[in-house]
Amino acid sequence: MMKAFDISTFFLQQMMDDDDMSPAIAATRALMESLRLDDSTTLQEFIAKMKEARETLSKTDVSVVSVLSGCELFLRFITLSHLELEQAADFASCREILLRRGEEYVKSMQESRKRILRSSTNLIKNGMVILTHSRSRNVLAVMKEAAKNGKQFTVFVTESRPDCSGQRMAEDLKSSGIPCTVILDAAVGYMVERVNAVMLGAEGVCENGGIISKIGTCTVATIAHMKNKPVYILVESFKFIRTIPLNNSSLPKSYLHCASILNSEKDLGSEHPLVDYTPPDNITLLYTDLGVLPTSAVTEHLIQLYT
Amino acid sequence: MAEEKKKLDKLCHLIDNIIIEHKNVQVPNKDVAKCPQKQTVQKNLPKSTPQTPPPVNSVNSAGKSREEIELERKARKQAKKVKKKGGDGNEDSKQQQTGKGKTEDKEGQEETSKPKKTVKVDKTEKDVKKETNKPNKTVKVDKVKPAPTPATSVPGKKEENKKKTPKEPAQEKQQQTQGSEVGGDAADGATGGKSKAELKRERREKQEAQRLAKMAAKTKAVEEKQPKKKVETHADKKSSTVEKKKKSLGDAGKSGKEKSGDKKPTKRRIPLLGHLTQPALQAPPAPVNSEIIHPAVRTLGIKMKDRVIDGSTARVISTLVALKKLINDYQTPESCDLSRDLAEKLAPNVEYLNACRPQAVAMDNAIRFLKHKVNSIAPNMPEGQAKDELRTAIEEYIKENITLASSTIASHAASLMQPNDVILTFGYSGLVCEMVEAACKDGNIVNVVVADSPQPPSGLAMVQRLAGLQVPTYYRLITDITNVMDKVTKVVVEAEAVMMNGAIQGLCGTTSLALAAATHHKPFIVLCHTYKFCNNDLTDSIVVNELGDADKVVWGPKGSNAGLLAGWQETRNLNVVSLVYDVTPASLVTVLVTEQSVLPTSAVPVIIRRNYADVLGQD
Repeated sequence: MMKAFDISTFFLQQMMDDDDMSPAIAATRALMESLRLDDSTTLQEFIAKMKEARETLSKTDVSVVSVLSGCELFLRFITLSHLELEQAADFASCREILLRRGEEYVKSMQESRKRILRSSTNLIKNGMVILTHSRSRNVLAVMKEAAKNGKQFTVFVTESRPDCSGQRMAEDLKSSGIPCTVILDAAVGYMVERVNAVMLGAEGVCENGGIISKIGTCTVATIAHMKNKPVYILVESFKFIRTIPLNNSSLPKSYLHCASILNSEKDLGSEHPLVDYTPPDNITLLYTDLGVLPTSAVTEHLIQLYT
Repeated sequence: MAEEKKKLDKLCHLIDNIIIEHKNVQVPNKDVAKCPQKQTVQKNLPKSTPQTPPPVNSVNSAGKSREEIELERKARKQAKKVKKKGGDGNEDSKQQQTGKGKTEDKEGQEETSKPKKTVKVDKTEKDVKKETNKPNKTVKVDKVKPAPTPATSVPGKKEENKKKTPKEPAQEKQQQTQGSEVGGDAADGATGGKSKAELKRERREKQEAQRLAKMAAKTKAVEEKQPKKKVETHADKKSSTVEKKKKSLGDAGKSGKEKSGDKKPTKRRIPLLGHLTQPALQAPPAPVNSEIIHPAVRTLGIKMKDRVIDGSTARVISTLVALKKLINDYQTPESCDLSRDLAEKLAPNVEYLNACRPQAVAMDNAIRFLKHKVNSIAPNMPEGQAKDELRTAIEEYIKENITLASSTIASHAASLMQPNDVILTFGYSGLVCEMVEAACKDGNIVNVVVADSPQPPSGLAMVQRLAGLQVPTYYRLITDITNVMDKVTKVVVEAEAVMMNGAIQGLCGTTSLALAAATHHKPFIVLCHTYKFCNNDLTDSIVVNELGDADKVVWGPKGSNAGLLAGWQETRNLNVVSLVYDVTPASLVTVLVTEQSVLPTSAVPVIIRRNYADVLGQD
């Protein structure tokens, strides 16, 4: 890019600056920034550049799923106003329109967490025991909100190897005054009969309502489902993606491993995957900014968005 | 445009060939097999003749006249049809007489007009002899002109037929069980307030009349076969003796079956499945000279009845092509709108096809689309333009919804395949073949296991087509699939229809595959065109289904046990059922591959609402 703007460094910087920001939002912001500094002269050139930028972003060492879905939706949204774009006199005014729509989009993305909080007001009740896996910003926000409203509940957090994000989650919860215990990933089966509900985040929601999420989610959801514990997923609608994995072995490699491993030409068979796929049968409800959805409602929203 | 047409014709031809190749069409055999019956039924003939009014006699006399022109095959065929119709009219009139006196005048007219017509047709056939269908037709129409009644009376009669069918089973049941008064009462109750005894007597009379009429119709049907037999036996003599022996053996077995089948073919209502129409043994009667049923539609109907054209896609394409021919030949009468008149003309044709074989959901959708198009033609549009518009609409429908969609579905499905996948599929499916082809092109060598049902063994055609693709293929019967399930990685089938609730209607046996896949946690992939989506809900395979030929099940495998159950219809407590479809619940389906994208079953109502609301919401 011109002016020595590197989209991936900007993106990583964004992620560092605001820990509460979802990678999808950071990616969208990075795209906005490149749009601002862009010097394309035609719409076609611009769209080609945007796609290139998206490719660059997907090669950074973060969870690719939500970045890709965020970028996809962003491009979709800003170019949706075709009528308006065609009426624009020149590309400068076109860019104005795109920037305006982009701002709108980022704003709505940032508000989605608030909407999730609203839709999940009564999710946590007094005396509840909740199991969660890894560190989800949405789950953290909902729990904090419940604690602020004076709800008394306890939380079990899995350690969630390999990055031990569960430890961070426990620290965050404790700092908000929520009693919590870190358990081994392998102890889910032992603990699950003590809990009332399982609350999870997701990196991506597939068209059939299944989720792609941090490795181990499938284990937790499956065991909870077997013990008839409700599994609630807290997720923003910009993480909806238009694919259906048939099973875990059909997940694309770009989802499973981060870019540095894919590029290092290591034997992928011996590498640990980063994410897994949880089929919709194991999920009770999705709490999203669009409201509380059953898994079967995801496809309708996606079809509306993309056609 | 011309090229596309050529392509389409080629496609139709291809479909025909594929199906013909792999089907033992036993149509000629059937006719021969019926011959031995002649004697037994003829014994009954004298009994029935005195009670049945003139038509039967007249038909008999016509039969004599027909014998004179025995060698003129076409003539006989058509005369047969007319006669059969006369018989039906006769049956109807009987019913009407006992039921209500009102329609007697009309019936009388029909009765008199029918015999007249048969004679005439014979004459014309003699006169015209070996001419092509079309010129023949015009001549005939001219000759029958003095009796315009048949043309007008036919729709009415169809209605009568329709009315009759629901009543009949109920009455027959009563005949068997005597005690229960379920449907028959309700039906008769409409006739007015009569005393119970009166009603009972009336009903008995009616039943008696019906039985006699039916018997008469049967004797006629058998009689018609008589000359044919002579011809065929001549042919047999010429052919080698070995073949003859074989055939006669087959005949002997068949005749036994047919005999028992003819004694009470419609009486046997299988418990729970009584609402399904019995498979048609013969093509429904249609007036020879009428312009109501288009020749293309009639040919198609017979082909569908004999399963020469089978499979919903083939049926849809051939139906649309036949209806296109109808539109081609259609001329708007003066003082009539094209849209209104054509819709009226289409209706009996569609009904005819339905009588030959119950419509598949996909056909129903395609016909709805066509009706919708016809209805939406502006009244002031010139005829030529309107016909052009309809023709292009049909061509586009086939192109977009079937031809192009198939290749899109194939590529979508192929993208789900991984190298060294073992795919399990069921029976013959063009879409699955295309998918395998596309996967091979992508460089994914897949192994295919074709599970097949013993009757009909459509999977043989599938194996043959796959062999052409150089794909490693395994052929197994569906009873065997549990043994291979652990080696299978994906189960791929094609749907006949997809219901609003996501349930899949497939060929009978599909659900077994789905259950096996679910048990072994293998993805169950369903391929389907979106034009086969249907805005009905189905939860089981009983409510909406089609009965296949149960006799084929009994005779199916040619082993030592073949024919042991030939007389099953005489065994009181034995029911043989052959269902054509089954319904797989949405929960067993992993993904649905359509031309739009790879979808979960929960997307079905969304697709229906968005794409087909205008067409499907019509009736």
